[in-house]
Amino acid sequence: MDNNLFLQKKIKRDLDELDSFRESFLYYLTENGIEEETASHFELCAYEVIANIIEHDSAIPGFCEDIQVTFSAENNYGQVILNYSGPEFDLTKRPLPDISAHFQEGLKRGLGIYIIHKLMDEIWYTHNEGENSLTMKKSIPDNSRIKSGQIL
Amino acid sequence: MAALTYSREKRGKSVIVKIGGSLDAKTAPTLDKKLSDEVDQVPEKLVISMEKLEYIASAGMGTLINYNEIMSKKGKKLILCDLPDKITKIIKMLGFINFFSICKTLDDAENG
Repeated sequence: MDNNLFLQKKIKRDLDELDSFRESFLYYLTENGIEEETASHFELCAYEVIANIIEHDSAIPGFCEDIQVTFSAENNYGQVILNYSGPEFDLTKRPLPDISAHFQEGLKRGLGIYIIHKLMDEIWYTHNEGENSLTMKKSIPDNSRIKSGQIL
Repeated sequence: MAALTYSREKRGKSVIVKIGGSLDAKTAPTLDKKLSDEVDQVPEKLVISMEKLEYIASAGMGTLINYNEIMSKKGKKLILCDLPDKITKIIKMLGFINFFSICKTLDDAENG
């Protein structure tokens, strides 16, 4: 398959680890030909979801505590899939905040889901017996620059 | 990795805060605490220079939104300035640009 890029990493539920992950994730995307602004959108959205998981969810005993991040790019699309154990919580069903009201009321929270909806083209979520999977998909403008590669 | 850097000085009717590094889920509570200590010291304007800011996530944006409103309620002003291009782009793309008072430079923010 042309322009097939694949990355899979596991990270611990820890904000310190998330910092280093996001930097290496962005580096990997741009080094492999994803245009910088698009790469930063994938990175920010992955960051938002993982930070939310770390803040709100705890792993279910007996399940893997790590969060698995998979990025793949093919043809004109890239997608990030986050797999993690925890209670069912479908953030794609959360109502989007009214940004005007958000500013008027000076609210600190609730922007993560708004950012994801703004920056990604498609989002979907599944939950099956304690395992959650969230996929975020976005078109990639200059597909021709993407290198083929696989990091596991 | 970039921690949050913070410095402040009082100049005339403004308090100038310079932030740098990363403003994210981990560091936003630190900025929140520092700004909460600051608000009553501000005569008229709280100017936040973001020249050295490398990264902002929703938690950081939420903190700025919150202090924008806190200052407004006190009859004072929060002004952001010296935004790096990539921070301007993301704030524009998210549609936040018209909700903040933003100046190009620190001089503009102080004198505007």
